[in-house]
Amino acid sequence: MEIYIINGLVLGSIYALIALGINLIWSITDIPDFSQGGIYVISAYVVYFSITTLNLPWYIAIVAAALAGAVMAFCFEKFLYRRWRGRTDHIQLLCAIALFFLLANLAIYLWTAKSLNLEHYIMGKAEIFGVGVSYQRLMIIVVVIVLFILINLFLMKTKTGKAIRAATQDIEVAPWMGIDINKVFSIIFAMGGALSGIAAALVAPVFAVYPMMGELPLLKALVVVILGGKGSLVGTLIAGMGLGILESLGAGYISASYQHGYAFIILLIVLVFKPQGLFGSRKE
Amino acid sequence: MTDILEVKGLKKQFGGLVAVNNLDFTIEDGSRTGIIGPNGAGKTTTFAMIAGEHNPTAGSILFEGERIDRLKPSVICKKGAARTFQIVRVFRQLTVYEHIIMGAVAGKSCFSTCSYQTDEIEHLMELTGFENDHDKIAGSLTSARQKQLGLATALATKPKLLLLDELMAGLNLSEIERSLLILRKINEEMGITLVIIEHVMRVIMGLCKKIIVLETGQKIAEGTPKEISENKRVIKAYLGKEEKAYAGN
Amino acid sequence: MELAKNNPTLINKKNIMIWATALVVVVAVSFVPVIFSRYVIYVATLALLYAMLTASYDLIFGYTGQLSFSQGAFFGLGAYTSALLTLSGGLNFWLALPLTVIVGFIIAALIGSPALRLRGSYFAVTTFFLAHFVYLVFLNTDKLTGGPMGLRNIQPPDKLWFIDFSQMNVYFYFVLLFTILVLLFLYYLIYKTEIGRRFVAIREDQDLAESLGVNTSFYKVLSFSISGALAALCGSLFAHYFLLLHPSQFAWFTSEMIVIMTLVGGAGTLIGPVLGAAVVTFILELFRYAPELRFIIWAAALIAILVFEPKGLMGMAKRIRFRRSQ
Repeated sequence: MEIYIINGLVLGSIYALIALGINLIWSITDIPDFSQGGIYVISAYVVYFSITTLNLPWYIAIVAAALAGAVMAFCFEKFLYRRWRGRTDHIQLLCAIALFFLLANLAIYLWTAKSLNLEHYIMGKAEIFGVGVSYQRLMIIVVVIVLFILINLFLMKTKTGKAIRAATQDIEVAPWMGIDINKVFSIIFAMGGALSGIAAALVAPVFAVYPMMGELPLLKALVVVILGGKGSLVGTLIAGMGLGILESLGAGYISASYQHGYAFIILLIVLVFKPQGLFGSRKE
Repeated sequence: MTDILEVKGLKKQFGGLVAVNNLDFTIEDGSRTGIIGPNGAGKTTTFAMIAGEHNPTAGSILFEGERIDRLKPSVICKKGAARTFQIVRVFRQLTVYEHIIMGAVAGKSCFSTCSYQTDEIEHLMELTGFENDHDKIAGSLTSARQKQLGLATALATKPKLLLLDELMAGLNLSEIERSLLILRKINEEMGITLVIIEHVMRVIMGLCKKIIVLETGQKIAEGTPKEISENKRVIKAYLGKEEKAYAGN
Repeated sequence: MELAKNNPTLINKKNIMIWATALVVVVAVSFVPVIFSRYVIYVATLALLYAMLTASYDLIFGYTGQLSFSQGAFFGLGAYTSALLTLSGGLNFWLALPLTVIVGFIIAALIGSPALRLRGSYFAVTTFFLAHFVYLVFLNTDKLTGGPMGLRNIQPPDKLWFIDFSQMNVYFYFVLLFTILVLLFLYYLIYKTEIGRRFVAIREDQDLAESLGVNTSFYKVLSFSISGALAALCGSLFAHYFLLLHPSQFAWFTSEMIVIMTLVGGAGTLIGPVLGAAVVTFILELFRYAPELRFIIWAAALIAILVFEPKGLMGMAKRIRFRRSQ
């Protein structure tokens, strides 16, 4: 039991971290940014080569991954999504999916489909409730919670953060309040990309680095956003962790082959009873 | 006279924000009523609740003596309460004629082809000034005309009660006069009860027999145009500065 | 008072040229099996199948304006349902086919009613996950679907009157061609009647449609269900043409490809998606020998289409015609 919950927390933290960036982007721009799945993959390779080829220490590699993610997302917004801003015909969503597909296949082309393994950043394990948990896994949970707190502070306390929150409330009114929408978009995309990059860097040593690694975390993160509710940080964190734990328990006690399907069943059930998401105030 | 609409203790809360609070009013059958108030007073939210777009947090709405809160907009429309929107909303790719017919057939349960009275549609188009625009694409009209198209389409649903949300915004003086004439006809000849949200004070004052004033989600006054224009609280909250703003008109 | 019926006139002076062109195209396409090699027939059959699948998708996306990524899932459901009904159930193909369509309709309605409460991108993401979920089911219900081993030994359609499908594959080509024509005609009818009007109204502005009395949730689910049923029909034909099913044929990429084909042709234009499917299938065949590059070029091409010609081939044709008339 405990082992499943702890594994679920690790998994859920990663979902929540990717979902955090996607939620910010989605609630402001109405783009479910699938390209974060591709950014996640490329960032994981950045970490891998930073550590193996360039011999950089792991914390520098994480920063490199965050930077790579931020730059990619920033460019996608600036050169692609921005052209179609304000359009309601799903062009941005299709472009995001194409980007995700492009990046994953680029990874196959450049580095083959074979999976690569990294050593844990911090060796050893701790004993929690009689279960051995590697420091690497604990680090994931801790880093994710710290990042959530930092981003919450950023949104609540800084001027830029307040501008972003205002834009989440009402994108049409924001320009009248002297908010530079282009700047807000650039910042949230870069932030989202950086979060996906960090998520990839954190899991690279636990799981493996391979071109298709982005698909499932991306799907789960998108579901977490819908479950948690638009623009809700707490909702994202709770939905992410909750989904991780449920998946892990489901895999342990019900059936492991459907581990990646539970999210969909939960989503359908929630939609029947609470279409606006668990914590959000999204209009139906 | 009977009341066609009765709103009791209506409340709407979005998250922490109370948009409409403990609102009571009645609308007499066949009357013309104006709702005024500064931006954010909860006028459009009230309309949205009557039309079924939002569910009230508390309170009830009775249409012809029957509860309609929590019904879907399409059901409420079929019962005879139609609305136009504050923002411009049209089916951009339809022609003007198709657009108005949409209103006539949308609520009917027919699968293949619906019948409707051509002369009624023609009459409607003439009334609203679209008689020469049959084949114009709705999306190509100016936004003020698109709002008028919204009115024509709402009329095609044959409502008993019509909620008009800032129909006059963006019109010039002569267009306003024309619209006023149209609204009078709709009310007097077709017998449709009108409830109007409007910022252009002369429209409200000239057209409505009763005015309801909202401020921060609550009713602060109700009465005839004369009573309202003399009410101190209203002048303080709203009319004083608005009159100045519209003095240029 | 005069009662007017909004009757669509099928043929009038205005569209007689369109009908003539359509006739020429149909006749030309019918001659493909007579003139060309087996390989070309194979690619052409494939193109027809995808054309039909894309046409089924255009109802929910092009007409009703709901971006869905689950068309491949309903395609797969149809394929497996039909294959299992004939293989394990021992049913005649011509009985299994309508049953499959009904199953497709019901499942689409069951999933559509909760999922379509979501709007726009939220709905799109939910259907994306649906496609993945259905793939997982194919992969994991080993006893029924053969799991990763796939389903083998599917039989060609039973003999119908004098047409023996096990003898000549060309018959299949004509069955598909015929079905597509029926489908397009069905669409034409839907488009011209009140149901189609309501679909378009929902696409143009859902809130406005609802406020005018359109029961939008019902019509959205209806559109999704018809679309799903037609995809299941395609799946059934697919299963009994290829005679071999594998979960990977119905992974999320299939759904995405259908969306792309629709976009290439031009969504909501009746004939555009069919055209798009044909063009894309032939182009994909050209890249058959460079599989690693294939998907990269593919994704890049999609982005290019979105940037330069988001209305697809039909949009391009319209623009060229417009320029000429100037």
